[in-house]
Amino acid sequence: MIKALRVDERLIHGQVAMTWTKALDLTGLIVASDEAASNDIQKMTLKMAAPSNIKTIIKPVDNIINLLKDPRSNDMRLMVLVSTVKDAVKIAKAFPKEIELVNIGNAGKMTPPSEDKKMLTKEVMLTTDEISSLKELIDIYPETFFQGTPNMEKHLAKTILSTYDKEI
Amino acid sequence: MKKILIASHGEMANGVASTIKIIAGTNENIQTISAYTENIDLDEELDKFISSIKSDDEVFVFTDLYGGSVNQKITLKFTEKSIKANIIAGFNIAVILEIILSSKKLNDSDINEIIKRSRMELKISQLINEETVNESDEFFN
Repeated sequence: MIKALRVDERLIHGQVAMTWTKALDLTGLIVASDEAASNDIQKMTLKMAAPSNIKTIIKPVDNIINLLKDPRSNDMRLMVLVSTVKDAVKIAKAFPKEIELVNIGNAGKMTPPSEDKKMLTKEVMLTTDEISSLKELIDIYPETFFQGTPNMEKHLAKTILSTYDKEI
Repeated sequence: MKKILIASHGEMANGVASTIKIIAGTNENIQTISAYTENIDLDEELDKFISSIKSDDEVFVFTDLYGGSVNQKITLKFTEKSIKANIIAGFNIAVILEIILSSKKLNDSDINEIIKRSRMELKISQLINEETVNESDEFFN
């Protein structure tokens, strides 16, 4: 089962490996990223970041969608990690009911600065384009929330966006 | 409640608390003593920490170096005052995270297990190709 879909530009790192895996009692981490999947060095570093008792796989987004359709995935407690909101939308569209939590962790802090990037929370900066993706994501999963780790404050994405829309 | 103290020679303890906050999202229950820095008296700070301990608290004290003076003083003080505390010397970030993030009450064997696992995190970092799972059959296996 897909316990969570998380947008995190750092994919697997300390916050994910140490906190979310425990809080959700995960047995598998799935990285859906065309970019990471095509880079052997990045794949190895991501694998290094994952706890040794948790299965990890890194594949392009479309391959991951197929992988998740495998009935054997129902026996695992999975977190799917994507680096962009756009990729999250792809996954959410393929599994519009099956995902228990949709979480935005870290986004937009490592991508190059751009004029239209807006700071939504301390951890999340999105371009206008990505904000429209976020709206799509919220349409499929209205409970989509912003949260870095399970101990941090949780904010509903739709609430954040409504504040943002008022400001522009 | 878990009560955590991190103590070090110099500023390491404060730095570690800041690291923990970023990775775990909180460091609320963590107190620190950066010994031998200006305005910090180890004895005084230790007494302050000890007086804040309640009878049902689970106490964990992390010190930077086994055998170092900070560790010596802490071990001595807790022993003299007969305060039950788990004093873990030569900590790393992994052991602190494991302990603060565990949701259950930890007994001695749990703590030893955590120390054993965390000790494995001190290692040469290198990329190993075989570690990557590539096929779904391997993943579901």
